[in-house]
Amino acid sequence: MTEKILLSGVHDAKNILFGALEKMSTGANGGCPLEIQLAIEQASERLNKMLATYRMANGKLQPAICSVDARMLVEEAVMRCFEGYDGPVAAVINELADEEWPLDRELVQDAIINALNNAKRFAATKVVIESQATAHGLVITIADDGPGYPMAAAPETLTDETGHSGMGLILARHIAALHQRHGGKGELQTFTGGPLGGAVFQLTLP
Amino acid sequence: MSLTHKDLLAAARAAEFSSRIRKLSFLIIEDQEPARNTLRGCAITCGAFHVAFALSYTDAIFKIRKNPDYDIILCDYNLGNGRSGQQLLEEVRLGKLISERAVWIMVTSEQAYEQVVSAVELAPDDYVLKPFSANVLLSRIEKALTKHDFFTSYYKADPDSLPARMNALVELAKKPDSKRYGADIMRKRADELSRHGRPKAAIAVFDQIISDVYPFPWARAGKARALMKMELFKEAEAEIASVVVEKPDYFEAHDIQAQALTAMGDVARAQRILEHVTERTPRNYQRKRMLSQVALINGDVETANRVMTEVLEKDVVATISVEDVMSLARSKITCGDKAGALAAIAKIPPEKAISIGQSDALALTCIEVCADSETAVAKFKSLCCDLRSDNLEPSEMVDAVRAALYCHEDDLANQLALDLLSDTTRARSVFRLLARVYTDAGKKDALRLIQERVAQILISKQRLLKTAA
Repeated sequence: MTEKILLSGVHDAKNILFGALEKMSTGANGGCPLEIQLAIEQASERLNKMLATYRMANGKLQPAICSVDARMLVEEAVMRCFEGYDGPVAAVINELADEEWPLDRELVQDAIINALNNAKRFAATKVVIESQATAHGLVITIADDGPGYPMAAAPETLTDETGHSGMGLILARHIAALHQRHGGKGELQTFTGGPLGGAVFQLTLP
Repeated sequence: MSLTHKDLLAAARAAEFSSRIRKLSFLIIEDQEPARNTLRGCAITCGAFHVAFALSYTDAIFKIRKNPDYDIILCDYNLGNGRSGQQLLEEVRLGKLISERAVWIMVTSEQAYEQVVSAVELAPDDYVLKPFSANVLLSRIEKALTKHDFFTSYYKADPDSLPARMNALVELAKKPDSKRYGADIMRKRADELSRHGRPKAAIAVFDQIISDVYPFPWARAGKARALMKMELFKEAEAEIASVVVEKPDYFEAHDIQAQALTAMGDVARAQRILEHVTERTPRNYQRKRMLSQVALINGDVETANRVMTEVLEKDVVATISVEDVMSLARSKITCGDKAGALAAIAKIPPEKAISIGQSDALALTCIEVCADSETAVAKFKSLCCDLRSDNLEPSEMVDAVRAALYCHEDDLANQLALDLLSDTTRARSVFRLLARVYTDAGKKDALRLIQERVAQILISKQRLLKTAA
């Protein structure tokens, strides 16, 4: 399974970079710099995720826990996911927790971006993001108005906008579980339904 | 009120913030030209107007010393020649070369840096992983500036006044947006208490962070340092040992562990730890200074000599200090190199020689005595009567013992040794060195008698305490 994920990650990154190269060679002005920059960032994100997957598979994925601004964590993830996006789906940010929270910013933000990319791909018109500090922990919820997770298979994979399977929910679940505090452990819940009727990705960090 | 992604991206480019950025001065520290140009482009896209550059670690120190008022520093983590941006940050902050309000953003392509920043006591305001967009950089700068704005009243409070600083933090904790900075407020409280000589109170705050927020490695390291100040060395070592196991790349934790072990008398182990860490951080000359001192105490004069010589030759950033010279001179004297000791002392810059403190001057005189300086011998003999009343560090007392034995002032030497050994906490770290001094003087028996006398004194004290209780 790990090998499959790693291979698909290389394939994704390669496709993104080739796409950028095509735009550079065929575009009227040698391709739009922003598009190319975004392509490079996306390819880099794929490669980072592969690295995280590889480390996870070898039991070497260790969280680097810092006090993180929970609002900024989500806002930045939305910004990174939707920068340069011109499609029909709008990301709507509801209430966000205005707290500091001990977590691994890079790992958690990657998991959120992954979920947002998935929601952006499958949503009809809207993706709603919110976060709350509750008695169980920091709860980050991403809901869309798409078809939801398919019933036929366990929703173990997230797919990105290229349509290929990625590091997905396995990694996100592992990242959640790496966060342990006050005897509790982070967890990820995914289901279909929620306020918009589509997929719901809910990450809870203790 | 809900926002959309378009609102967020628009806010990121808001003119209001841009006009603030335009007034701030930037320093970009990056040794590779292409990366420097990229950072420059990014900073300009963020709205930066006043942008200066430093091309290396040394250049950065020079530029910062020349202009300590930079508002935003974008520093690459990898500065070449074995130097890191983290090391630069620590040198600049510990040396107070820039304002507390300056924002420091570390730029790195190494994901391993997350492990560094989550552990260290002196962390940058934020970091960005390459590749990153101007929006992400701007977001991080904005967040750092907003945090610094929140702490304005704290920065304005007199840094030398603990009540002023603590009151500022108490008032900040009452503000509605303090929830975003709770851990920072606690961390600053602990740091201020530690800095102002209140280690017990600092430990209470560190414990609160560890239990209520998270057992951050920097909090456990801060607690270990505070335990050291309380001379609870065993407890300090236990605390920091767990950090070292969990974060083997947190090099300063290894330093603290070595200090604790030295204080406990386990100098051999302290030296091994420092040797291991200096291999991994070959351009960290502060650590090498520590290694040299520990090696000398451990009786490994060759290592002490070699390492200190290297420090004085290669540390082009720091100016030669009296402590460095004394450290080298001590190791030279210990291995019988009198000419080398005098040559080392001659390297003290004249401006430092003039302003040398009393205890340093005495320690230098003691070293010069053992290097056959007649002037120093005469000076030492004139100081003999006042020697016991001087408040000397343990290593300086050993210097005085050595000098006294050299001048055949055995009674004085033995009394100083007795005073030193009677304070078991201070004695533990220098006993081996003291033993070597007596051995080199051919007076091992005299030291044994002193040890017996010290044991008698300690037993009498314990009996008195029991009777009083």
